[in-house]
Amino acid sequence: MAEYFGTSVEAIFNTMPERFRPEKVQDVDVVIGYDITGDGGGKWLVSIKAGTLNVEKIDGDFPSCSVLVTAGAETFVGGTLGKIDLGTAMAGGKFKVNGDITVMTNILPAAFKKFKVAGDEKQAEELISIKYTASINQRFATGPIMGKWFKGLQEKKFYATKCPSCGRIQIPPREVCAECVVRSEEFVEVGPNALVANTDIVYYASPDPLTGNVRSTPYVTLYLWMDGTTPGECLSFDLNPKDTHRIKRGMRVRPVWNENRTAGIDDLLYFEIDD
Amino acid sequence: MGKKNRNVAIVGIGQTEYSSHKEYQNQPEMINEAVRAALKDANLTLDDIDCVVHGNMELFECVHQPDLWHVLGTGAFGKPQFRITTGGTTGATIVCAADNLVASGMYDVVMAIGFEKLQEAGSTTAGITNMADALWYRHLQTGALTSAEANLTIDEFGAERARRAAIKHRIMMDKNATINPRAHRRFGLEYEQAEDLMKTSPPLVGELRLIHMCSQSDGACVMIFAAEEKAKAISSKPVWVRDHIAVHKEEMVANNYAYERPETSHHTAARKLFARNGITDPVEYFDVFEMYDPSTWWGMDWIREFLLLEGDAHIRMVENGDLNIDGKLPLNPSGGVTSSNPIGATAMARVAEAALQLRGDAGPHQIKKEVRHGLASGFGGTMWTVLVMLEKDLDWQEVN
Amino acid sequence: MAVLRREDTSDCFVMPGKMVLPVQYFAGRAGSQFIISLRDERKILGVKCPQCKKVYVPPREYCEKDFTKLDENWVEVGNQGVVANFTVVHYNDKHLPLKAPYILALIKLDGADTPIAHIVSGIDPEKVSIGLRVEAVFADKTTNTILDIDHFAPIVD
Repeated sequence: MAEYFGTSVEAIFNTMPERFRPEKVQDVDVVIGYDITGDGGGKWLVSIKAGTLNVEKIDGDFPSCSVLVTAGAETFVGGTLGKIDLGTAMAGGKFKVNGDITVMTNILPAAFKKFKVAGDEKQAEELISIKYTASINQRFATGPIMGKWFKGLQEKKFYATKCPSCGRIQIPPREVCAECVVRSEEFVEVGPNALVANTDIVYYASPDPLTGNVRSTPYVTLYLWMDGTTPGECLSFDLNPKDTHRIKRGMRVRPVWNENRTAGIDDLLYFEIDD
Repeated sequence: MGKKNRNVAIVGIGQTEYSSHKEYQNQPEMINEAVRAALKDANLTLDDIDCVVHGNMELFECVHQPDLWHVLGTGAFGKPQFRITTGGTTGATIVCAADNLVASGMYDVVMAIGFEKLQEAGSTTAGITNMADALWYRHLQTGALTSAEANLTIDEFGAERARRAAIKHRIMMDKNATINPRAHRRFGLEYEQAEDLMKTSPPLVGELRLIHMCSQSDGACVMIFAAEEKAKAISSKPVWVRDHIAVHKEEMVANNYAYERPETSHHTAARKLFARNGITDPVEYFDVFEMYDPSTWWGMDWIREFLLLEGDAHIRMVENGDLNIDGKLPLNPSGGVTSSNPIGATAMARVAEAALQLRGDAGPHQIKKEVRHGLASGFGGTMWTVLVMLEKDLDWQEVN
Repeated sequence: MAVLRREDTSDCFVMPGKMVLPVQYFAGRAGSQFIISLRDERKILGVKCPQCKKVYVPPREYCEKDFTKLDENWVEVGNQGVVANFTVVHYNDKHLPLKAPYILALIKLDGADTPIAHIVSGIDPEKVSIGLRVEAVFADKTTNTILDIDHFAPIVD
């Protein structure tokens, strides 16, 4: 059996049942395929469902998987042991993940205790690290301009400011036009519909800065040219998830409002394709 | 009157290796490694340092007032010290501040420190998102991840040409990083892998794939600045800071992707800096450009912005290899930011790496032909730019 | 002096906000050795400077004044020491480790030249004084932090 870093691919899969933490994955239902190439490699199928684990070495084609991992044996073992940086291996195409990447980043680390090479526990230098999530409650004053904007949302209205000098119409509104360095005193109602100037379809599951929870993906962020504003101004907002795979630049969108509006960002749910 | 009261040179440079993991050092220890390296490079001791400027990007390590407890490693004990934190531009802003502190006559020798331990920031993207406008964009932003630039590049040049140029550009950066012993990500990519990488690198946002995006790195960069007379006494190879410019725009990052795009802060900075220094053809003038390229798509577009090019000139430069380490204008011989990104140190490392090229001390990634004129850029926040011009010789003419 | 005119504040209000950030912290080699020794052997370690002979607790890799390398000269200091100074915390906050009132003290351990900050319990906050002799009381459960010493308590002779 080919050895890498003092252990083997086989050993990592064989110790999965004893490292499994069912209590952490009660609500999880995933199938992970591992296609480990090179000496000591093979194909494994790891299924986690309702707190039960099944690990199986297979021949032939993979069945339908939530995620399929393809890696060389050395990369796989090194990555498991932390000797090889998986992010780097992934970016360099040496550790490929097809499918839902959050299975790898969130579910697997919770589901299994760390794999350790037998007899190696004491030799490794222990370096202390502490992990925590900093959570700070805050309060922000809107001021008269953003206050007007949020109160507008409550009434299903978009208020922009108009520069008395260059005439540009800013959204969200701003107290001054920074280009002309003059106060923008005049509010104008714009929208509610808009043209999609650019789009971001996000696959990367980042933490929500308000909760620390991982955002569910994919989601789309829109860059909008709101009707009635100048074309150099842009409002960014979310897209209705139902339109994720249909949205194209140049399309027209309309706002969808929350039933219960409280003069906050949640008053506006998202924009959706106006067809 | 000139822009400066007196001339300022870089006389010492110290960098840690940039890597994803530095569990064996806490923050002051990591900084101390680079501080000692810079002092050694300048052949100075702590006694020679008059003032320290220290900075990183706020929020990432979630520690308050790091300039105070980092005194354990910075050497600022009993000395004047300033803390600067301007997001991604931090490292370059520290350079500007150190340049100003020396040029003004306030201090003769100033040590500038930029650092970051992004591994300690559990999530760089969460950190960046939290820095957005708390009332609006904090709810919407996904850190610095965007495909908007890629979408526009594809619109302008067609998907095939744009994607191909981007991946070629990325592989070129990796080739540079691979020969830079301090670079974090050194994949050893070959141009033949372009096809495969374009398809298999995991997508992050739209056209932006993992391979296109910068790393999350740990590391520190330290530079020592001295006034002309001292600089000549300290160093046989001082690198002169000819000029710098810092440009901020409105905080609405979304406006950069509006239906009609405003002039970028990069373009504004380059336009003004080159005009006041009489540089009419930057591609011809500069011998090295170290650019803060947070992603390949941004980096590729910004070649056009910084070098005041038009049309597809920047894409052609990529396609023709003009930006390779042996090309007409070598871009990021260090491997740039897609290879190493310890954010608070990143923008300073651009200036440091350009200065090392001018000194001829870059190491294995030294440009072969003579390097006399250097350009380095910082990028941060909602489109902020710092641009620094370096000279090997103190022989330029002031243009007013 | 320019006087700004009074604003119309009818649209001004306060919105709740929140910031959540996952972070980690690495103690480094010297810091790890300090914590591991506390946790596993209940011994408090410092480093002795070969230049000035001072014993630093907690340990540090380099001296901040002259960058002398320190972390090759480990010394064990006592689990007992003296209150070098103190403050009594009189207000409650969810971020604080104990309910008010409690004593936060600088404790100079026997054999150390620098004091460490920690909690002193087991004495009325009214009665604590500089010079009080105290002893480390180790925590039952490890957190891999300085709170592996739960608190310092007055030595009862």
